[in-house]
Amino acid sequence: MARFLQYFFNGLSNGAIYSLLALSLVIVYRGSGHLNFAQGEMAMVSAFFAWWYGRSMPIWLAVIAAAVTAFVLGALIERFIIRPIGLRSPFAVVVAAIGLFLGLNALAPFAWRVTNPQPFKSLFPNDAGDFVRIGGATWRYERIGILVVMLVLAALLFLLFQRTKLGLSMRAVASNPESAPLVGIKTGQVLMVSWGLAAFVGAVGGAMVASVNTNVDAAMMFTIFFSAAAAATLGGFDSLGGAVLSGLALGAIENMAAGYFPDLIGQELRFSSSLLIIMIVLLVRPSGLFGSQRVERV
Amino acid sequence: MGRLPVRIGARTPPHWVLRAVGVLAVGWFLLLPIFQDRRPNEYGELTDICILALAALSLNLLIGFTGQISIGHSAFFGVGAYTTAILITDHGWSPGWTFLASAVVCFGVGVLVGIPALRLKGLYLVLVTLALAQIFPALVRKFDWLTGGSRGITGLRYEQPSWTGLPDGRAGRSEWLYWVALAMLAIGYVIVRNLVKSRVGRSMVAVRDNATAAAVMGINVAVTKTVVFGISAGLCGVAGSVFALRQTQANPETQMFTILGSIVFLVIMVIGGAASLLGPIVGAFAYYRFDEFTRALPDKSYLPEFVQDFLTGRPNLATIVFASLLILLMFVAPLGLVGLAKRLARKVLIVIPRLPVAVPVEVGDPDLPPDDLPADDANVALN
Amino acid sequence: MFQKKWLRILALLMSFTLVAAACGGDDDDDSGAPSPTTADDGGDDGDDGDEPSGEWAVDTSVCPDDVEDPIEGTITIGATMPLSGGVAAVAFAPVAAGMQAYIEYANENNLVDGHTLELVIEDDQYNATLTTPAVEKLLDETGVHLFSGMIGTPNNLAVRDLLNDECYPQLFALTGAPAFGDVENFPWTMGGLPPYNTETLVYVEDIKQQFPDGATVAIHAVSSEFGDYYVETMEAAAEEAGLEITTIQRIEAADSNPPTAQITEIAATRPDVILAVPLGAQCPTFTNELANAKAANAGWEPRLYITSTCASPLILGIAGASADGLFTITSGIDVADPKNAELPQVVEYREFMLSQGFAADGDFATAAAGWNTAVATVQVLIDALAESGEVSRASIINAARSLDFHPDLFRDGISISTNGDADGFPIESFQVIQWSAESKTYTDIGDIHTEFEGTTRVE
Repeated sequence: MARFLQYFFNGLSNGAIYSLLALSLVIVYRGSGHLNFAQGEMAMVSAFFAWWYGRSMPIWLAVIAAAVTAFVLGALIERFIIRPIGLRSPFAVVVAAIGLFLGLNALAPFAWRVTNPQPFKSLFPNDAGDFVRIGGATWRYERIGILVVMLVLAALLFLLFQRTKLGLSMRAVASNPESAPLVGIKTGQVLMVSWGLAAFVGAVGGAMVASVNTNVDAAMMFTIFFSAAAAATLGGFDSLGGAVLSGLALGAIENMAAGYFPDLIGQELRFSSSLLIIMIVLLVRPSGLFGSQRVERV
Repeated sequence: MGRLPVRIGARTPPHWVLRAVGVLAVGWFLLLPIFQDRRPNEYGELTDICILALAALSLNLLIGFTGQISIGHSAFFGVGAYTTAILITDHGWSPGWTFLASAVVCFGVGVLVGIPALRLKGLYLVLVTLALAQIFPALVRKFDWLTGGSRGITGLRYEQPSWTGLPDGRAGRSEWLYWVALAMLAIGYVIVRNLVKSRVGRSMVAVRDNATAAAVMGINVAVTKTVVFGISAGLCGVAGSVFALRQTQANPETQMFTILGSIVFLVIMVIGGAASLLGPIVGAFAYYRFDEFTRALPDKSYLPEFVQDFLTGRPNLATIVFASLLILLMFVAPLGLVGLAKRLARKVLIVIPRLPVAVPVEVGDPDLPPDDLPADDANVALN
Repeated sequence: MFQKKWLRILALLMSFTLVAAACGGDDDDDSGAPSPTTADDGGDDGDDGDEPSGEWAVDTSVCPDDVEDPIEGTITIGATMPLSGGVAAVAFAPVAAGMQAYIEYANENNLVDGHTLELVIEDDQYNATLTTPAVEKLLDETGVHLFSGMIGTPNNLAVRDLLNDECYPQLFALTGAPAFGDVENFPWTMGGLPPYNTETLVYVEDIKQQFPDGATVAIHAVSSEFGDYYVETMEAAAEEAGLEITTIQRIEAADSNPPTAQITEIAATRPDVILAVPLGAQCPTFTNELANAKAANAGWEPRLYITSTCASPLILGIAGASADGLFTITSGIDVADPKNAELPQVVEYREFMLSQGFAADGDFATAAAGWNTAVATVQVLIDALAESGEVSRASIINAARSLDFHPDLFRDGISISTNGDADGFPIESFQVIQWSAESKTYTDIGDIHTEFEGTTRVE
């Protein structure tokens, strides 16, 4: 039981980060129907912002400031790169996003002239003894904190989408982008807000990764992005709740698979095995667990 | 002839002349080595371009013509490379024959992936192909008795046969591999072209544009999609085979066997022009030269002093320029370079398609907006 | 460009340049044995069974005719390095600068008599696919005479056949893969970093001294060729050394999740020793996770050996207190350590780098790796000129196969030595060092291990 709990806690820790980034991907997808290949790298650059701000202000303030910066950058990217290209050709958007992915990855070291990973202060109590013991398994405060932050953000997003006028507009654009303008919704603004919001959530995710890893590094989001994309797909790509649950489930599944089958799967095939499971789920439910059936725009 | 654009009818003598000129131009370009002495490294670069073009061509068949998106082609590329590497080192095959084996093996793998892919579309299909790209290098490491594991297989080469009369040593070998790569690209091009222009091709486009409608019209959507997936994978596998010979090794850490390889193929396909036959070839050429040009940039001596000072200690300039140009290109040529060329050409010359109902070409609606022309036939000469 | 493998190479380069308290008193040295510094250059210790024989000569009968043609005037050295392409570039740019700077230094001081040196570096973005065209370009367009300091295992492997066919020296390939000492099959190719398998054997030796009655060992290693060398060497050596391997936990090279799961498994077996082989940014993450696990398992204090690729003070500095007390190895002097700032060779090095336009706040430690590579390359050219009276590709590789000299930025007692086909690995002697998180410096542990000179196995 202790072993099971330990895998479970470890899984939730990784999973909470997948969920955060998966939420970003879902918000963008609901808004403009794109898979933002650069979402992970945007989060990485945001984490660098948090590190940079953190040199002159408390770390939590720095993270919030970085997330706000990310919001602005995300909105600008939507307005000046994604939207104009998207109007021209759907394939071109994919390549533009790949361009962003390459460019942003190269930009952080260029902009800050850093030649190595940089130290990142922990966001939660993180001394050696800062953990709870449940049923023989340990769970660190930091990992619990990340889970809580993720759940709170997800709840706020839910309220935003369900209870505010802005959220209503965003849902309208998501469900029918053609007719939303007919009822007076400013689609352009909604899209900018969607991308900004996604970047905001991603920035928080990036800061969490940096906190757990104790450093920021240009390569920090590369694999996590793909895990998050897998979680978003499993959840159904347009469902916020799906993203949260799938992210957590993905983390738990991959940790158990690697833990209980060390020789067959192990850490080497951890991600591959979870992708296989998702593949099987998709064959049964081609729109993911919580996704709505709708025409793809890709 | 004072007013532009000039209009000519399809399959009229002027059109044939234009086509002939186009074919000669492309042919001259590709066969240039016959007329010129080239250094071995230039053959090497052309070989790389042919390999990339063939891989992008295979992806274009799938994405451009059937609308199925794959970011897993790096795996087929890798399977092809490993098939060649293993057959040469473990079974003593002559490299030439391994291409055929790669095509068959990858066709099989492609069909196997294509069947489950039938149920999925859009991003859900992207994820399945992502799984493929992710799993391939891990499996190579896992099955080390076959693949050499993380150390890979080294020492591959393709000696020029004596009948070619090519010189001994590297010069002849480089040229030989170029001809092999060019031949594979040409075969791939012919296969794709015939497929696209045939009944099957029309089924593919019908499936892409509306699968339900296609099924109603009696097209077997499942078979069409699966077979196309297999052919696409087979072509990509052959590209991987040539790649293994070019690299002289197959190694799981090779970037082209990871998701990054798939991304390169995708970028080439789009900057060339999705759903255009020549697109992948133009795209591969542009991508390769573009990349070469940006990597040569760090020689900054021609820049003003204050810019040089700013750049001191700041790496990655080449990548940032490359990425920016990529985004800029998508503004200028969202339908790829071939699309851009067509658009520009249409300002000079329009080929009026011959419509099923015999309409005299001269009477063609003068206000017909160029974009309403069927893209393929509005092309100038190059097809 | 996102593979982190480059990081290990970078870090290994850096480890060249590390130093423990060469001048200071080693008061926190818990082995109780201050490091004796060998008196002079050369490293010709008695147990160094590696005397250059001078008899080995490359077989030129299979080479193009020009292989023995003397090179007049400018000698052009080619290399491929990642200068762009994401994270790789960041890390390696100083290597190129350091290498370039020493070539300038050699020219200014006319080190290779009658010859000017030119270094041409092509950017391959750490992508082996781009290495082949880059090297071919250097051969056919630039017209280089030899290659030195090319970065990366697959990158060097990609052109190894080519350069051996064409008989061009491929010197000091910046990889520690033990395949790069295979003189018999690849006479023109030579590695330039400490071989990974020998590094592991140094750790085994140290563990044997610490635990004469045997010990339990857990391994944490990246899942790649690099990690495989450590795992396989440890597995092969364990039984004879009385070690029991309790668990082997792997991690994907690009995995940026913390290795919580792996360390949970390791902690469950409570080993006496951990051998850790993470990559780059994974290093501080690993030590942090290990500290967490130790807190959750009271009384468990494993002795941690970490790959020298993690040894850069820049990387361990991030890890803070969690890295305190770990062990690793080095061969070089840390030019960034304030304690070494007064050493004449360090002063000269820094001054020359600055005069070459290197940023005053630049990464001198990484640049020193490039500098050292160039030092060794220039030494080869000097030897070639001295031994045969002229510089040709053949005389260059012959000189490279009978090296024995001490670079200024190496530790006393450690030399670069090769010996025909008996020893194809230039660096095989190491000092075991221990990290102090408080002072952010290393302390020497025991004597320099020279017993592995000439023994590295080609794998």
